[in-house]
Amino acid sequence: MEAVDHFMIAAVLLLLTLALALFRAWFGPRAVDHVMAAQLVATSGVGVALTLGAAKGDASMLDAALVATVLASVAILAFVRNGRSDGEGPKDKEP
Amino acid sequence: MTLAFDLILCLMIIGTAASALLMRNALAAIVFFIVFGNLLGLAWLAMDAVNVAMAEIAIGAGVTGVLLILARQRLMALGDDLVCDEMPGWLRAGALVACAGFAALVGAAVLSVAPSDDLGGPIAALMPSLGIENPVTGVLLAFRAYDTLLETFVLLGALVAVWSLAPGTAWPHPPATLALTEREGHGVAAAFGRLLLPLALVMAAYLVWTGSDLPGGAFQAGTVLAGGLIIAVIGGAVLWPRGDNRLLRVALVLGPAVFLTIGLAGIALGRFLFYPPGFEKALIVAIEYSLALSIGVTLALQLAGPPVTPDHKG
Repeated sequence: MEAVDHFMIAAVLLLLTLALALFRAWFGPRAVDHVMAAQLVATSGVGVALTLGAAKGDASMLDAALVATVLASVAILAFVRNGRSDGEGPKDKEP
Repeated sequence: MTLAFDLILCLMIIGTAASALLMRNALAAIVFFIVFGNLLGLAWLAMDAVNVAMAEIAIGAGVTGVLLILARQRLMALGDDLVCDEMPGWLRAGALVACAGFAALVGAAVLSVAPSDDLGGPIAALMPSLGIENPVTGVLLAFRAYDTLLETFVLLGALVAVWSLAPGTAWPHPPATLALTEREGHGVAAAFGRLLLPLALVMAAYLVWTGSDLPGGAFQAGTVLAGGLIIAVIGGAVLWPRGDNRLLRVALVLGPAVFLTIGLAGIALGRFLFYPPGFEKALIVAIEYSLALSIGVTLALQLAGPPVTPDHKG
């Protein structure tokens, strides 16, 4: 039981660090900052899913984490694929 | 500690949902939508609904996020500045009332379900006859197979709708390429696409197989496959096929066709979508594998958009 509680505490702490990424997602200021924040959330989300799976003793949550790992990379590649069209907005300019 | 986790997660879900709606910057709004999908997936995990969590992470956060990012790029390429006009007050108030009413209806519907109405018991009693252990797969492929069959046709119909948006001169040319426009990143994307597509194939096959007894299934597997295909196309490892490519068309209709054929064959044995005793698991797995392939290819081509004339740029 002791170890299970430790995993739950780890999940809460990971969730809190994930919340910090939301500041970057909100403020940017560059386009790439917004997208990297989404990647950070996806990566931390994988961590939360893994610790949650360990806390609940449910191995199938590892599969959910795997799905998140593969699909998170698609969004970033879709974002960088068109170099010209990103970061054109007035707030998105490179400093 | 579980309570603390649930409370923090709920606050973050509401916060990201509000941010996605309030954000003026289109890209930031998309980012909050993706974050919202990921957090919702975690919420389903916290409620032990791993099947739903996988679908939410794969479709809600993954593929829909990519769709929005690509839509933003297309709009920008068309010269749209992506600034939404100020909405009139009555429209805002109307949207608020409609959404609040809908939320109240959903809340009432959820609260009207008594814990004693749980279908888990009756379904668990029926599962042994199917030879599989995942009750969600049992409901989707056996007890409510009719719904799933229609869904697969809806997905196919959606692709036909996307294709029908093509100008007359474009058909049957392939959709616009998604390949990287910047030269510097091309090597990375190409290597990544070649690496991830086989990985996605293995994972999709695993998700279908494990879906018989544990969380997983054709829809999650198909989405992972679509993700792998998109990455391979961005990296230039795979080219979009022409709309009249015979192999492509076989891949698109294989799932629905196998499902329908097995369903119709059931009529000979009793009724539509009846699986002969002893062959339930074999037939369900066969349907799921062909469905996963068709769903993956269909989703990828829906993201690709309608066919374009060959000289089209971007």
